[in-house]
This record gives sequence, structure tokens and C-alpha cells, in this order.
Amino acid sequence: MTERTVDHRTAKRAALIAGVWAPLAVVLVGEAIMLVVGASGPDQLVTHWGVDGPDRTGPWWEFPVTVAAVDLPVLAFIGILIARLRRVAGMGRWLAPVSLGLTVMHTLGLGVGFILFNDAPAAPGITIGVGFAIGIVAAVIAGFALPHEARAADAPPVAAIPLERGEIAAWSGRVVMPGWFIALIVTIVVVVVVLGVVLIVIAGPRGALVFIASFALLLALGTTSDWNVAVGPSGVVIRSAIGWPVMRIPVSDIVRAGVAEVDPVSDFGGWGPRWVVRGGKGRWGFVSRRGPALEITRRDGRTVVATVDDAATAAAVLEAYVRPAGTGAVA
Amino acid sequence: MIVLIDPTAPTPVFAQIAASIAAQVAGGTIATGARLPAARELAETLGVNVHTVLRAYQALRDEGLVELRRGRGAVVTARAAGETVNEAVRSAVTAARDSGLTLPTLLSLIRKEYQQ
Repeated sequence: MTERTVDHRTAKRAALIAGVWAPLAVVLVGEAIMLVVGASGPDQLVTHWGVDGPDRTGPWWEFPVTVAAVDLPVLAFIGILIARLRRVAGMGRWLAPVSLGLTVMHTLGLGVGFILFNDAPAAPGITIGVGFAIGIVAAVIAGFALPHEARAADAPPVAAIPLERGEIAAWSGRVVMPGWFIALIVTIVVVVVVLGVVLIVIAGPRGALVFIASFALLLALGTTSDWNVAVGPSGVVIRSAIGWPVMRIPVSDIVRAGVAEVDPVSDFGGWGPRWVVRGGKGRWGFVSRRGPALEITRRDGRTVVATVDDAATAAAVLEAYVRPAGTGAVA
Repeated sequence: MIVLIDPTAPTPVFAQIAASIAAQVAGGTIATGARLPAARELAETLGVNVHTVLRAYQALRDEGLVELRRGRGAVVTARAAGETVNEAVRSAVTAARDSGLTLPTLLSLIRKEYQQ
């Protein structure tokens, strides 16, 4: 299949139109419909349905307010993510269709539909179903219609550092997650702990589950936010700062060391230790920022990427053991 | 951080490790506050005894380039970075004198570079 490829500016403009401006238009049109229909209808509408039918009523404006309060901040957040993409590819390319789909689902399924068909007996099921179906169709159409950004050229091969006979080189570096990322997770944990206290007061000992969950989150943060990367004659060791988990790649399993330009959202869907499939091969990423990263290619084509500082030196040291200078071997 | 050693050379390996690291601290490749890799890990990577690396770290501590803190390992000190700047200033002054630049000219050059 031939794909239409465009340059970065065009790809980003298309993603912003499909992922921010089009959904914003959907929200605004939905708001207009809800305001017109809602203001001319009854003051009180059914706002919640239980298993046995309507179980709560409220003022009509709850619907437009909820849609605006949820969708506008989400669109702003997605807009920032798309605007910051270095390449509109991979998962970064999916931001726009997902944004459009979710906005359509929410605005139509949970806003406009509920106001238009509020007194129909089957209101919730049908409006949610129809709204979600339209949202999915919109997302799929956007997914196919969005142009593909031309693939970045592969980084040139890195030359091995010259080693004298008997000389041994070792390189070490770190992948430390950015402060805002750690702050975000700590905030989530604090919120979860507060919820746990509230739950224990309300629901008794079962609230303790929340404490276990927050402890697990903290443990995950501790083991995944700081990685040491060591490159030497025997290969590469990527180890969490607390000692576990560890990934060891023996030099005999490596065919190439190089420098890759990483965009966390496009290439790995986020930060931290990540695993994705690229070109049918597994790709591990230890991702703390965008920019140059050490890229290790194994014999079977699987790759490992770590966003270390001075990735070029790390790759040059590894190349010295993968392809010792003077052997003239080229993979 | 890169460490280059040659076990067959007459210089002791611990001194080679220390010199390798000291050169990068002086050159600014290793920043103030940076943590050196754990001695055990660096020893494993280089294929040398852990005591050799510990001895290198102690030599760096004696030079005032790193602080050894229990539980935090070897941390590059602020003094090390200050030395780097002092050295650079000294060589800039020497170069300015050699080229016949006056002090105000040198200062304006530094100001311009700093504000970039």
C-alpha cells in the first residue's frame, strides 16, 4: 500500500485540524443545540438512569455544562500534545482521531442525545449507542484521512571509538524521568491515599485496598523513574536505580549501536519504560525526554532505546565492541 | 561518562580510572551534583575488582572532586566546577594578554558570550 506522505508542518496542521479544531466545532455546535433545545424545554430533565430506569432528575443545563467542563480541558491538553510532537507518526498520529472520536461520543452520546430524547423510554441506551457509533466512525475516517508524515532519515552510523590494544572503555549514563512526570504520579498517589481514607471511613476495611493500590503505584514509580545504563566490553546493562529490574544485552547479541531521535508520544506513547512493536519487531524504550537516544539493534531485529545524555559517545563505545575498528565488518 | 583504562599499562588501574573521571569533571562533561555510577556496577562493566574502583573514587575524594556519601555514592562537588571556571578564566586572560586585548575588551567579550 502506498501512503501519501507530507512534510512535518502539513502533517501537524492536519492533526491540529482533525484533533482540536474539528472536535472544538463539534462541541460548540453541540452546545448551541443543547442551549436552544434545553432552554425551550422543561426545567427539570432526567440526568441519570439506573437499572430500573430514570433515578435522578436535575436542571437541563447540567448537560451543556458537563460537556463543556470535560471536553474543553481535554481538547486543550490534546492540543498541547499535538503541538509539541516532533513527528506526527505512530501513536502521535492517533492523538487526533482519538480526540475527535471521544469528543463526538461525549457531545452527541452524553449531551445532545440526552436533551433531545430525554423522555423516550429507551433514551440512555440508544443515544449512547448512536453517539458512540458516530464517534467511532468519525475516528476511523480521520485515521484513514490524515496524511502520513514522511519518515525521518535513519541516523548515520556511529564510528567506533578507537581503542589501543589492551585498552578497555566503559560508558555509563542515566535515564531520569522529568520532574513534572514524577510530580504527576506522586499527585495521583496522594489523591488515591486521600480517597482511601475517605473510603475507610465510609466503607470500612475494604478501603484498605486503595492503600495497597497506591503502595503499588509508588513501588512502580520507584523502580521505573531512574535507570542506569552501562556500556562496556560485555555489552549493555540497563538497571533500575534500586537494582531491579535489570535488562542485560550481551555484546554477542548486538549487531548495531547508533543514535535515534526519539519523540516520546509518537514513538512510545509516553514516558517511562515502554514496549512497542515497530516494523514487526519489539522495541523497548527507556524514555525520559525527546531528543537523541542510544539505540541498540539485536541480531533478531529487536531494538532497545534509552534517552541518555551523550548518546553518541555511548554508541561509539558499544560499536568498538560490536564492530572493532579495523575489522571492516559492516552489517 | 566514559572511563578508559589499559590494564597492561604501567600506571595503576585505579589511577587511570580516577584520571579518566577527573578529566571529564574539569572539562565540564560531568556536571556538578552528578552521581558517579555505583562502584560495583562500574567494576562489573570494566571487568575489574570493585576495590579498584573504590580506590579510584577515594583518590577523587582526596582531590576534592567528589564527595562520598553513604547511600548516595560518589557525587561531583561544586568546588570541582568552580575549578573548571577558574582554569578557563586563567586561560582566557592569558590568551587576551597574548593578543594584546585590554581588560574592558575582554570583559565585553565575556559579557556578550554570557548573555547568548
